[in-house]
Amino acid sequence: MTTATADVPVARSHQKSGSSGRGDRIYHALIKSIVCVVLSIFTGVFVVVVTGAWPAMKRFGPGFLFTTGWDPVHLVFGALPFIVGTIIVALGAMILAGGVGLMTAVCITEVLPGWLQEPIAYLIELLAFIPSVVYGLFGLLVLAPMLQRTVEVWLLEHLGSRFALFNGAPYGVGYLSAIVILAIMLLPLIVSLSREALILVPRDLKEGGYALGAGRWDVVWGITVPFARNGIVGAFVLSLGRALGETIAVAMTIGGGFHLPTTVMDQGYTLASVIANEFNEVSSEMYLSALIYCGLILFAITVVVNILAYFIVRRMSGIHGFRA
Amino acid sequence: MASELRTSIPAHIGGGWRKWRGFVGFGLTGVATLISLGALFSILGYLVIHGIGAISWNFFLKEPAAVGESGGGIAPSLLGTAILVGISMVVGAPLGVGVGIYLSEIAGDTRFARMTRIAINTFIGVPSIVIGIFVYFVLVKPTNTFSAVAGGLALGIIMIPIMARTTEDVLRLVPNSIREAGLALGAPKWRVTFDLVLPAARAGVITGGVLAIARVAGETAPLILTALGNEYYPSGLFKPIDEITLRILKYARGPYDVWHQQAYGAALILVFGVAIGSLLLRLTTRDYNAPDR
Amino acid sequence: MKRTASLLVVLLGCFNLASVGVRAQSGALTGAGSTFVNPLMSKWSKEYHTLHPNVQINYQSIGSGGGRQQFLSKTVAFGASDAPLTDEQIAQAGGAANVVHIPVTQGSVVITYNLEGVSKQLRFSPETIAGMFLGTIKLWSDKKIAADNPGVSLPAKPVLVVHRSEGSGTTDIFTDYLTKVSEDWKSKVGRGSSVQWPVGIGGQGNEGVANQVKNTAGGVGYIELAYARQNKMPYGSVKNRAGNYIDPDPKNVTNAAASLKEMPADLRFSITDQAGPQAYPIAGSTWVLLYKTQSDAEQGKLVAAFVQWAITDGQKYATELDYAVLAKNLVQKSEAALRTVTCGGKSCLQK
Repeated sequence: MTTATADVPVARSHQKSGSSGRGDRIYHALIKSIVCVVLSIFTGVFVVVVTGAWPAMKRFGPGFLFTTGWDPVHLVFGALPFIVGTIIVALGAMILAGGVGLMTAVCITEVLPGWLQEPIAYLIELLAFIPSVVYGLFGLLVLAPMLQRTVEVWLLEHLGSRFALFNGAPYGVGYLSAIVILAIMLLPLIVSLSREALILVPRDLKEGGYALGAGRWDVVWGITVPFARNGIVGAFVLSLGRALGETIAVAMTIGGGFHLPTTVMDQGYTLASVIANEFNEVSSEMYLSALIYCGLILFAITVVVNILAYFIVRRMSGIHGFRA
Repeated sequence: MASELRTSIPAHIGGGWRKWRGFVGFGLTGVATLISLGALFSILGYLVIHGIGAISWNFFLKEPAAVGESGGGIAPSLLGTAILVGISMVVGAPLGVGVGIYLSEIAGDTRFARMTRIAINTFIGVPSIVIGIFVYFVLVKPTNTFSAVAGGLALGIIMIPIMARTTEDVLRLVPNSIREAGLALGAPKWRVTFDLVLPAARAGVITGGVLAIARVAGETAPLILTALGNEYYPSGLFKPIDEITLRILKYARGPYDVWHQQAYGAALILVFGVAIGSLLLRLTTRDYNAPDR
Repeated sequence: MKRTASLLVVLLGCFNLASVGVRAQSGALTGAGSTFVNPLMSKWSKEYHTLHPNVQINYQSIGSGGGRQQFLSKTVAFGASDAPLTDEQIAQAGGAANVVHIPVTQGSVVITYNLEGVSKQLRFSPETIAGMFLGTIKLWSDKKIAADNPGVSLPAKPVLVVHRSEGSGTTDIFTDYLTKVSEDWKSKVGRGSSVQWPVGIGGQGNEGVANQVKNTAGGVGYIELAYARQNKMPYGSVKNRAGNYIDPDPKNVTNAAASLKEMPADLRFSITDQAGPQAYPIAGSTWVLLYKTQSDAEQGKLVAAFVQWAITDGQKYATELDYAVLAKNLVQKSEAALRTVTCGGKSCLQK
């Protein structure tokens, strides 16, 4: 098994030694200036976002993250519903996609005959090529009305009288639709990454399990999956990162609510989707600033999650030679 | 590794129970696979069934009709998509590939290198709407117009970390022997990089580019704040421009059946285009992938 | 790869050349704003383009709030809004002497609903409407709704309110009306383009609200008449101040406009809840917003010519699309206001 990580390119070690020709100096200068341009763009993004959010930050302080209420008339804004919404939608989608995706990956690698594995895997990867807006289209025009007529009605009738959680108004669009659509979007990522992790499990380990008398299912669940758990966890975390930033599909299916959710059928907003829906239409500079403040919070959350994912993946990369 | 084993099967339980558990377990995985495939086929199915009716010559060649009227097309959106992707490539490809070259071929263990790496890893995950906000303040407001350039710039910035990462990965895969051979022959480092290493990695870089294009062609959020949309062909690069995903967004949200049909049709074209592109890519670059494990 | 790159460069070059060659009555400009007026504005844009093939008026319906915002940010050539600029926004634009409000059309905001099995047109009194949107009336079978509609069997389904999620002139018209007819509404919510809605979900634009009500059994929302008619959605008649249930037909909007006693000089007026016996109570206008001094003279002339056409010849499309034609004296006032817009020192209007 060859590892994917190559050795440090030798060219670099010659960097300090000898006199570099003029060509090399130009080359270095060019490449370095490209990097500087890119770094300044990224810094610029951060600066612009902080500057834009500053008026709202000054007015609302860190309390912005913990208050509710979104009143454009009296200029009272609190982002808690959006933060909660972001977490609920992202976690919900990750769990749903993780469960279905992991099982699918297990099926592909352990159950399907060899000739069927590639084609099925490829089909599932096709899901990744469907753009966000098409998912939103499907969610808004197909899934939401379907949920409204079937699932939500069922939930309301059978559970609504007993649990307040299910006692909501069946609009179709809302958290349910957004979570399901986002889960479908995350599926290809989870399946392909889990699959790669599962394939890497050494055969002798599995054979050891069989030798000890374990059945096929026990080998899968007791050996293969635990051994691949780093890769699988990495897949989950990466998909969480992806879910946090997903904007358009969520904007189209989540309905648009500025309050904390009380039932599963509620509408809401995530940080990304509220910006997308409201940015061009704000009624005041402070409203705009509040939205950008939301953007800053989103920026921070995704940075944290992505750093986490990076370290997990890198750790796996070192141990198992696996590169996401 | 023995600790990885979980021989949790009590000795007194017979083979039947184990088999049954396996049956249920694997059965569930089969169900999960069917669900995954079902999601794919139902989405594609709806696109085809509801969108095929919209596909016609008019659809490809005409401008949108007045609100609610039929007979219009999405020609400006198709052209707009091509223009925006083109601009994004002009911005994103050189910068992205450049950073990739830096990280693979030049970067030592300096603070600058580490900073660059952190920046790339951070920005690869930043939601595109944040980039849209940046370009709105940096370009749209100062020039007093939504524009194709602004949209292309936003998409290009999104492209940079993706291309940097894929370029770096692909360059690292090129065996050092190639570099050493070039240096041994007395070639300066820039020649080694451009004449030996890059060509060897060419397929991978192109793959990365195509994937980045596919990703960027599907981005909508930043365009809302930069390109705005146009019912006509763009009259200049510093004017608002339409794009296929913007049009799908607008039409999907409206109440008109003719809009819905056109949204499905546009989605069909988009998915079709991206899928064909990726299939071609897979078929032609299979030889260049990392060696099988 | 090289060939496609050069093809692309050629294409881009062509566009730049195209934008450089600007002749009389030729050019492209962008307006944004009201979704209320979108069906009509889009029709105007297309018809004007047929008359003047070198002129492209690209109108993007992002909501009146958006229209005002982009107007203030100077990123569009004109804004369109069903709610006039507030005093703060006028100050932001540089003062009342700097902006012009030009009424271009009027229309009705209808109460549309989705109730299978109810074929007769429902009637709504002001208290009922306020109750539904405040959340105090929760079921369609509520006695208030029943009182408005004797003899109609109403299902005991929940009333699912759909309102606007973004800054909307239609919302401004609707809440203006509700503030006038309901003390409860006035104290709890008030008037505005964006308010804190007690109940309901938000749709994006008139288009989004219409779509949502269409897809929601038991839904009720407020949209411009054209959207309801174009999508064959039922809408109710509303009881006006005189006590009559009035259909939102354009002629009843004209009746409402005719009841207006005084027209303020800056043309920022409201025609909701008017006294006329046949006046439809939830009626509103759309204004085109322009800066008095146009920084781009060429663009200013284009806009002025377009708007002048819209308020004169263009009015015939208004009737086709169920908007109310502007009364003669209002057209005169609009045109007079348009004439004060200057391009390079002179009026932008050529004739």
